[in-house]
Amino acid sequence: MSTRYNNGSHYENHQRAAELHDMAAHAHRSAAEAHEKQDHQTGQELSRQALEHSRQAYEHTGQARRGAVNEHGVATFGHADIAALAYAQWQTRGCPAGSPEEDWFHAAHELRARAEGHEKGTPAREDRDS
Amino acid sequence: MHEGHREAAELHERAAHAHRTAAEHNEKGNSTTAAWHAERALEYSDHAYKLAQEAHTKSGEIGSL
Repeated sequence: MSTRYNNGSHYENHQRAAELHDMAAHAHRSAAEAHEKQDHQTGQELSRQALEHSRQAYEHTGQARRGAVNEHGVATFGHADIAALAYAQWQTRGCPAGSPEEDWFHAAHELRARAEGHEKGTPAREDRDS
Repeated sequence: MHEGHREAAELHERAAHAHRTAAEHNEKGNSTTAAWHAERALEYSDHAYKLAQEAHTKSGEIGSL
């Protein structure tokens, strides 16, 4: 269920959304400064721009988020996720010899379970702050 | 009123950071983690947009005084 073929588009969606959020943040800070200087006319115009950037950023965030899940609303995962989890579980078990296929199967099974949990609104991974 | 703009700015910055983190995980093929960060970006973005609407309303009120 790898989505690697689509990573470029995911990457660009997230980067564009991040840029729009930066623009909105800048406009908000400028609006706050103008109002603080009692230049309410400029503050009002900057506030209008901030709201427009904020709306665009919100729409792009929705598009980027929809790109991060598949057509069924389930978070997808790739070979890199399975390999990383299989390796971590193998280390936890004391690095026993043999059974790499079994490690892979268990990791894939767990990631599928996490993805199903994600669909129901629970966090899908522990290393979320990396 | 200024605080509303500043709070919205802070949430937009958090959303931008979450998007960039999601993009990095997508690049590495960690799509499950990327999806988690995309969810956080959506939460920050949703809150920021609501604050932006409130701040703009207040900005218009003070501007018309």
